[in-house]
Amino acid sequence: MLFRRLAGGAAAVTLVVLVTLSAGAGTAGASHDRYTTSSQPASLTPPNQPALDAAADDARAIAGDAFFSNAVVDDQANTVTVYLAHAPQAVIDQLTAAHASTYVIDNTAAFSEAMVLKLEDAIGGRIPAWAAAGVRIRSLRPTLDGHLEVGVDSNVADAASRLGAQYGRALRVVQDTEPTYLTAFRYNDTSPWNGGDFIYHLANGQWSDCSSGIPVHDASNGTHYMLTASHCFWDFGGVGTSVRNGYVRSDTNAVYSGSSTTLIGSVTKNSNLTAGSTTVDVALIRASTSTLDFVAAWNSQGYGIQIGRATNHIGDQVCQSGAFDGQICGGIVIRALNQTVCPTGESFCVKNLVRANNSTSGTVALGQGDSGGPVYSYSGSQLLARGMTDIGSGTVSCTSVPPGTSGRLCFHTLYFVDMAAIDSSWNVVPNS
Amino acid sequence: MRFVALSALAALAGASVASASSSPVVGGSGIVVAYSAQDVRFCNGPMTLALTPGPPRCRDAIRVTGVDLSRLEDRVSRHGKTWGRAYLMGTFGNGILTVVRQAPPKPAVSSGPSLRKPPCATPRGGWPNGRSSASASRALDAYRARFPADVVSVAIFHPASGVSVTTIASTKPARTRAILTPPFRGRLCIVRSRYPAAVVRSAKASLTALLRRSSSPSGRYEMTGVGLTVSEQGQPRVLVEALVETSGLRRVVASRPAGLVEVVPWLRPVR
Repeated sequence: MLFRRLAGGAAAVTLVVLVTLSAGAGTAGASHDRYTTSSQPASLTPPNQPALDAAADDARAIAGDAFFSNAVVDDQANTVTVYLAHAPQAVIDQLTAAHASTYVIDNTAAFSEAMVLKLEDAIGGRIPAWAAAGVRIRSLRPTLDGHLEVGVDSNVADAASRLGAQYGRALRVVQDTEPTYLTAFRYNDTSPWNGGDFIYHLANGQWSDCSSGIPVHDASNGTHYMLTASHCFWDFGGVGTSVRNGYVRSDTNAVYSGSSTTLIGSVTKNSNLTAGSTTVDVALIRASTSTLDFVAAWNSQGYGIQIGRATNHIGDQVCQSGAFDGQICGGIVIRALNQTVCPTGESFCVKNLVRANNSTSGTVALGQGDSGGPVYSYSGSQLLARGMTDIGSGTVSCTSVPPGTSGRLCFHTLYFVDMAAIDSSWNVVPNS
Repeated sequence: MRFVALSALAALAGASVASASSSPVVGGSGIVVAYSAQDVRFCNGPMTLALTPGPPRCRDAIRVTGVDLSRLEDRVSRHGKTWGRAYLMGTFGNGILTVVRQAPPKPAVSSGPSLRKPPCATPRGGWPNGRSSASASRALDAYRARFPADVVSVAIFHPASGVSVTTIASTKPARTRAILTPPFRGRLCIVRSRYPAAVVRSAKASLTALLRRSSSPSGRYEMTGVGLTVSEQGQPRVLVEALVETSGLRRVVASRPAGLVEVVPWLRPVR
């Protein structure tokens, strides 16, 4: 899972944040104490907190799974606010009897904590399935008033309607505005998959290394796909060829040890590359995909967020971020559009290509293994999809050399498949 | 196989490539692949970029003789094959490049227009900083949809760092200017297109058809790609990439309106 926030559910993340904050506070306090003359260090835990925590635990025990919703400790006011889901008076009487001066009772929570957590488990186990259906869930969080808040980065009204129909009125669907953090690399990524991942197929000593492209979904039904080049896996049979995360080393023909080797899926659809054909050279692998593209070196974690697509014009500058060469930006200028190219050593031609290179001689634009990778431009710090890396010409020395890839070829001129042609040919749009 | 194609080319292209002794000397940087001592090839793309075992896919490229494999740059030997990069100069005939000089590869150079000076008078106070807005792009898209024959080419010129000027070659410059000037807010340059859109489309279509034939064993134009670009005056151009500029290809280009087609060969004549 890419997003730590979702990895263990919202509760786990809250704990991580609290632990981090606590550790930070402790460190700061210790440091302060060392440089003061005070012989009585300030207490790092309010003295009344243990008693308040115990009272909160009592409230949970007294109200039980049926009515307990939440409890908030306030050491300044020396109170515990107990949120209940419409508990009967008998339960309230019991609570009052236990800690009369401590509890502040709020009996208006919509649902009990037990029910909300059960719902969180149910939805948390189906996040990839919902993503495949076009509802991209980014966070799950129980609220004090007894709801489960679902943060989505897709259409909120649509998500609320569809999730509500399935799980009922305990949900509150909101737009997720929290930043996300990649915790994986291109070679050991996890679902939902990003643009610029290393991908490969290996069978019987034969293999092919490529890159994942702009994350896309079907414009009609929302099905997510990983984009790559058809020529990557065509020689293994095309549709049905299994694709894994990582890469095969050229020197040993063995998978790079850092690779996750996770099965991403199989080629679901691809352009026909039989002899004499002219196509857009695209393959789609059905898999949950994110809205992110790696935008740093092959072994770095930087990423950018896709927000849409841009039309390619001659003179525009673009960036290429295939897995092997990492992001290459700055000065790669579009020189020609609507190009058809018949690559050396192939019996097919590729259409709808955009040709781009740097005006500085000898610079690298792409290399072997970058096929399928994302091409984009920036709008502020966010990304506009431009196309898919496909072909190179004008050989130059590689500047990026992942382990076991010496002898890999790099090129000065990039030919990428125009995003508009990919979208119209395969009825897909970039995730955003 | 490309070798067969080159043989056919040699037969068709007349004295210029009829024999090694009378062939022009050409040169270029690229990838040398020795599949065996007898089968050495020279290529420079365009090539697909899946990374696979063994040498790059250069099997049907130009055959070369006289290469010193020990002098290749970035040399690799695997699976009984050797490959690396070099600049080779030699005579080209009968489908074979006979090397007369070998050197380290020269840096790959950029081809394409330098889009520094928009072909319009600089406005008083200079071109405004920044680039055109998304709404300007949408206005252009809408204009093209409404008047599909007007806009023949669009290019973004960069007269200074951080300055973008959208340059449009239009067959109806007055109408284009009247409608698009407001949304572009001074970042627009309109020139009258030297060619109607239909002429450009037709030239590209016929050259693309030749490209497909060129990639077949009976091809004789040695083309590798066809696309659309612009000149430094913002005029539309059809770009043809080729291994060498053959006499057959020169004849095809000569049959098109002057200045419309630009040929970019990989192997160039050496004086």
